[in-house]
Amino acid sequence: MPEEDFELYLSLLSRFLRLKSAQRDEIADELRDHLEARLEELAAQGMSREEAIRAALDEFGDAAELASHFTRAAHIRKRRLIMRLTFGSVAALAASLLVATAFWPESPQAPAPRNAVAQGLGDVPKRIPAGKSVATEDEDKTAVEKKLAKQLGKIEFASMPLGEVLEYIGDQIDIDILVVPEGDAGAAEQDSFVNLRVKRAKLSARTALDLVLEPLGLGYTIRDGLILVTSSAQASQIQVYNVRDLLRDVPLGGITTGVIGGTGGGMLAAWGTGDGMGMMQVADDGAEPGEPDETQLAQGFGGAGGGAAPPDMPRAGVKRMNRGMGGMGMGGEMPGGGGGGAGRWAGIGQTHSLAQVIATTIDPESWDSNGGNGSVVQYHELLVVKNSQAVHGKIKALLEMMRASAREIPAEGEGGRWQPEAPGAGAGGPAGPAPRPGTSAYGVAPPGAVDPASPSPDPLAPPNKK
Amino acid sequence: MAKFNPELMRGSLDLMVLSVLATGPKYGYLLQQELRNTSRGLVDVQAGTLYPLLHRLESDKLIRCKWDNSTGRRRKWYELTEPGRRRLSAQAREWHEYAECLRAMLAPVLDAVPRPA
Repeated sequence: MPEEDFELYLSLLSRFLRLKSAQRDEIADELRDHLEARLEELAAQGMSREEAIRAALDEFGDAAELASHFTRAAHIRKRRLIMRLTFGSVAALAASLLVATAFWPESPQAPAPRNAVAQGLGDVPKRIPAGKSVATEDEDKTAVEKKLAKQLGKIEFASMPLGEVLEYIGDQIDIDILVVPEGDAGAAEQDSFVNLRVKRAKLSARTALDLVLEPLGLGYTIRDGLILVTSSAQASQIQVYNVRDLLRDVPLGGITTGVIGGTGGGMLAAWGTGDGMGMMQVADDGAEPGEPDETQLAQGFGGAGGGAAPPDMPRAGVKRMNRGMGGMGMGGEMPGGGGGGAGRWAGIGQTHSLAQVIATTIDPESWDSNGGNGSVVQYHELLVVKNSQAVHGKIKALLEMMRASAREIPAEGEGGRWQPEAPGAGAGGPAGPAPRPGTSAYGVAPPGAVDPASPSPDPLAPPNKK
Repeated sequence: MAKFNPELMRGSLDLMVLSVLATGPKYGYLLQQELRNTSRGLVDVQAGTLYPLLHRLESDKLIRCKWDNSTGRRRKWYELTEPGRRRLSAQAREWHEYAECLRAMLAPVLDAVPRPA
């Protein structure tokens, strides 16, 4: 059926063009004209229509490959643009971080830890086996999961670069699939070619993604309505530990563990304008239901962050940004922390040495000081740790152990209330007054960002004084 | 003589396309034929190379396009822009000198190996 072949070829071609539909139509029209002109000439040479169609299609070659020539050319242009945007975004992030630090209180005597803020720190990119996604209740995630269930129909990738395959799948389900430009995943995007032909079965986008990523040792996570492709080994993530309670001369707070994003991607920052203090805070809109203004801000900034980490972003840039985000994450955390209590533990003097304790006792080879990928950095009373999920588990256990021994040391002042969310409070854990809604001392926490699990605001709680 | 190796033509294909367009507006298929004819069949550019190249030149504003719907199917015509014309004359000179240079360098080799009949 050469006539059908002809139409099929053109429709296949235009489906393989991962471009805007207007561009796609123009290219399809142009190539149709070319093919028809060729057919006319071959017919003039005395060839039958059927033969001519076969010959013309042969000359054109594989539809997927032909399409890839077009999309490659178009994407090179697009990438140049993204690079420009990227540098702008990094500069903006750096500037906002500076402002956030400038407003930073050196020694906050703030209300009790706002666990809500920590909870809102972002979405946990679970460490996942290659090609498997993580199901959560997160709304963004469910939306993405739904789209991933969409059937793609026939698939024909012939030696197509991974980046283009992902972009094609992304276009089909209307989701951006970004490759985290670090380690194996970044290299794979450049160097891997995908061969995948499925003619009869109708694949879901999810299965297609699994089939494409699994052989390459890659996996993906879903975040902020994006799909992030990472190497499974490299699925390290950043986590913020509030270790205030383990530091000398610092009032005991609760353990609040906020998670902000994974490698290269987690840009969940909000310009937390609270009550005008202009503090920076990391927020996950999913965890802050019912706070329209702040949530919108969070989304706005999150979007900018996402855009700032395109697949071809230089590694150094991403790393720097990750650190930057770590800083902001703490921005959200700090002012809420600290209580009026007098529980002290004299075990460890500086977070600096706590970082050393962690780096020397837990998987030493995984830290950058020993050539690994992990890092642990101190920021005031917070530890920002980037490492695998497994290491994070061990760190949590270690901190719990340290807190347990801290409890055996008699506390000086018993008072306030214990926070249900603060397992580290222990004997010396006189958590300060619960925050009144919307009036965090530093105006960082959005009024609605109160964790449902945290104690309800208590107007009778004692004022925040020692 | 066999067709030129695409690798060999890579740096000069833009210039060939611009020079063919210098003789008047053309659509893709016509351009492909003209390249083949003026090169006596030595330059054979595949559609997958030609069209992306045309689109790139277009986005660089060296050529511009016009859609023509009068023939029953849509046809995209390309023509040189003024910057394209300038680029062509500048590069034509450069390529000419390059070819001369290469010819002089290769002359001893070519003298030693006679051209196959």
